[in-house]
Amino acid sequence: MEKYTTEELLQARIPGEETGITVKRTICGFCGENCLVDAYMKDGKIIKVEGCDSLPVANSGKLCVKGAALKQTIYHPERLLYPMKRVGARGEGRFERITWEEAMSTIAQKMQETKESHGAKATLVYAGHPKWFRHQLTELCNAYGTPNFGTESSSCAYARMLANETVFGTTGRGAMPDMANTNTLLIWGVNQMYSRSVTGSKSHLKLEEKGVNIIVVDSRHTPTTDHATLHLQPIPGTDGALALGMAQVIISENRHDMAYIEKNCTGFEAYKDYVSGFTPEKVEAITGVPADLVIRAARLLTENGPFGLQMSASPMVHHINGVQNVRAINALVLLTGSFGVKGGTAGPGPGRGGFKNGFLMNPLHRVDADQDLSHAEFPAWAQLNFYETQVTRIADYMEGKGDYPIHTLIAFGMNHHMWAQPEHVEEAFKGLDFFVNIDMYKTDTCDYADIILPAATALEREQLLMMGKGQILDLQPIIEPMGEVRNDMEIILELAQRLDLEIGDPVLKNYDDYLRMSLMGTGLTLEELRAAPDGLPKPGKLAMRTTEQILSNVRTPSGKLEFVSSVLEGCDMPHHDSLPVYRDFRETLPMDEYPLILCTGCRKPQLFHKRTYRMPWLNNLEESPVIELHPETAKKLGIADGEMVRVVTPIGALEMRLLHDTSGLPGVVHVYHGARDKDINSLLDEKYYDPISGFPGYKSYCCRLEKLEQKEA
Amino acid sequence: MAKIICEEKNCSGCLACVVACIDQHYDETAGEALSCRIHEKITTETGLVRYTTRTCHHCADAPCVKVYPTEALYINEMGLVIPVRDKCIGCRACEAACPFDIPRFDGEGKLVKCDGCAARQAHGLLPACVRTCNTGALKLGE
Repeated sequence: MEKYTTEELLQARIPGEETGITVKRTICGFCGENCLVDAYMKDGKIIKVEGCDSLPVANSGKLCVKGAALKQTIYHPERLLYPMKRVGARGEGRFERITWEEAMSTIAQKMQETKESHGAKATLVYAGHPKWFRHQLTELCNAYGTPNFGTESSSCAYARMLANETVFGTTGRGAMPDMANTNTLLIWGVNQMYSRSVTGSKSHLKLEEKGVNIIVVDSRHTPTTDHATLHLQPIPGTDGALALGMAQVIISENRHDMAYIEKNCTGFEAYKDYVSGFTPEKVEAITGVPADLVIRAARLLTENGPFGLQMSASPMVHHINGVQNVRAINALVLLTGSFGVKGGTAGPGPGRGGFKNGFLMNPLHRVDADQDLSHAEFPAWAQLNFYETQVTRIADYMEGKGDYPIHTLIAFGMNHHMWAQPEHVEEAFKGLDFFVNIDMYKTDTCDYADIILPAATALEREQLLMMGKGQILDLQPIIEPMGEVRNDMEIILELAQRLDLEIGDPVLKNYDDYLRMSLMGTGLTLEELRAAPDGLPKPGKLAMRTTEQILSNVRTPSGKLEFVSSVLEGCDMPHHDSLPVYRDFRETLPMDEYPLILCTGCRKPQLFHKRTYRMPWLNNLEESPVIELHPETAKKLGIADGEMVRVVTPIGALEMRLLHDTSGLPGVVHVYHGARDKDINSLLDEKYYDPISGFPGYKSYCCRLEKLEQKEA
Repeated sequence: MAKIICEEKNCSGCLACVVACIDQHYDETAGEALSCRIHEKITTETGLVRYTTRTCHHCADAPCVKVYPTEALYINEMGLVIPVRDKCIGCRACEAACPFDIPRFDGEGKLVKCDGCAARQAHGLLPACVRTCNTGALKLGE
């Protein structure tokens, strides 16, 4: 074998005694996937990362493109390392370093003052990314007395969860496809090969190899649609009509499962009447999907059923008719008798493992929830997403345009660019009495805060991980906390103590208490796990759920799977139709003046919201944001590939480069969101949201494109 | 079995290999780091526009090695064509010789090219790109 010098081995980052390079195990933490990482360490510093392959974990040896840039994420020059206080004007970004003592005593004092002068509900507590400490943050809100606790999930996963609750009586987590046993998979609006590429790519290719019938509904071509049996391409936001059309075919060809429906569902007759109008020809006119493909999809779906429904958190609910569209899709699961059965959706088997009081494990009711700022406008949300406030109107709430004004904002990882018209949020920040933001980086949102606190990354704290079928792993921090960073839980617990509040049961005093509490009910102790670097199996058998148990424990008001929602019926509000009624978003938009559909945020493998723009290795992979437009439309408008153009909406305009791209449909303008200087959300209307969920129509707004010389003419 | 091959039909264009290559070869401060895996846009039969990646074929009869005036390129015992940075004079003769448009040149004008992660392979480790390939499209082969 070729002999390598020590210098060459160091250069190739080869672990061993000669180089002094060791490999330590950690969690990436970039998104919510919890991929395990093998970090190559030299002198206490990470010098390389790769996916862990020494444990039977989902990401077995692999990291996605974002995870591969982890070194740059951790050692980024914009990491926030010390508590700071604002010395310039709000938004100016001038801060000076302070001690943790000064920071925490100021925050506690301001929260106390707000409570005394305006009542506790004048404080809004917010959590963006990450999510793991939300339960304890809710406990803090309850102990302090504010019902106004909101998160990024009020424009991410919760609308689909709400839609699922109305039909299935369970959230998205409880309605996963039974991948191991399914013969037919309906993938609606998700491209796992990008958005969950480490775990999703191989499993998708495996299904294809197994000969599973894969129907993908996606308005774009993606790597997932390229590996599908059938791909339907509806115009963004018309998905509900497509689902109703498929139902019409299924019922008219008597392909539905009447015995299952009679036994387990309510509202079928009304639903049947409603869908009868959605003939394939009418559906083609609405969605652009050829009538014969609608028929083919309906047949394929029922040929070798039941079917597994695979959806993602948010794409289908980023439309102003999103909740009803998802309900229409979910109704197909009922119609074909696919819910709760083997090979279907939410099939029988072991429940999902998790830690006590982990994220969404045991959602808490909030104190005075009927006085929070969103309950009156979003009554279905208030019932089904009872654990949080819908904060899509955060700017209004801060400005006192809700029932009462917010004076103090305590935010963990807030990114205000996620909302439509972020400039309005910026203006509203300026009117706050007090604003704290906690983050890994000094973000644009931090610039508006009075105090900013540095958060530890996943690599700088001890963590517990539930792997696969109940194997539990304790992961030690692999690097010393940089600067004076602290983890979010430590911040929450210290804040509770300074406010003289007790949170947790048993009461949590420090981070170890939190870890111990998490393990309650697992039969394992923190000491046992710390002594077992490869983890330990959770003692005892996992609870298995049978089809019978699933279908006799449906958590809707009727106790049945509901074609007609009793919750929505009870809301007695406009647009809260109890049937999954299709309303066309285009009828609400000035399409004459803005004839193109603006669809934002479709996944790119290397981008994950705003934070990826910060990493040069990711940002340099391609120019972003750009406008992607089908050449057929571009040519009609006389726009060349690569030309700079102006995208104009009723709200504003931005200049960007346009690329011809056949992935999307003609007539649809695609732009990725979150760029620092060219944030497409600035062009969306903050009032353009789903009246049921409050979710903005990020993926089906309107725009027009202007050639730049028109300005000069 | 030391060369890196790509089963194109299974590539999703996720670009993990491109950044894994950078992570293997550079420190995080190297903002303008150049990956040995070249990524380019393609349009598939269906109309999907996605990335594809390619790298050195490590030709047995490598024309780049033949034309080199210095010893900046050699073929190692595993059959990998190895660039030697210290000996590269930036003459770009390899660029002209390569039939596959592989050589790239960094800010200092020096050759950046796949070395098959030769040292990793010699120590029983997979090349960084193969290790991370999300779909399994990248493999070792001849």
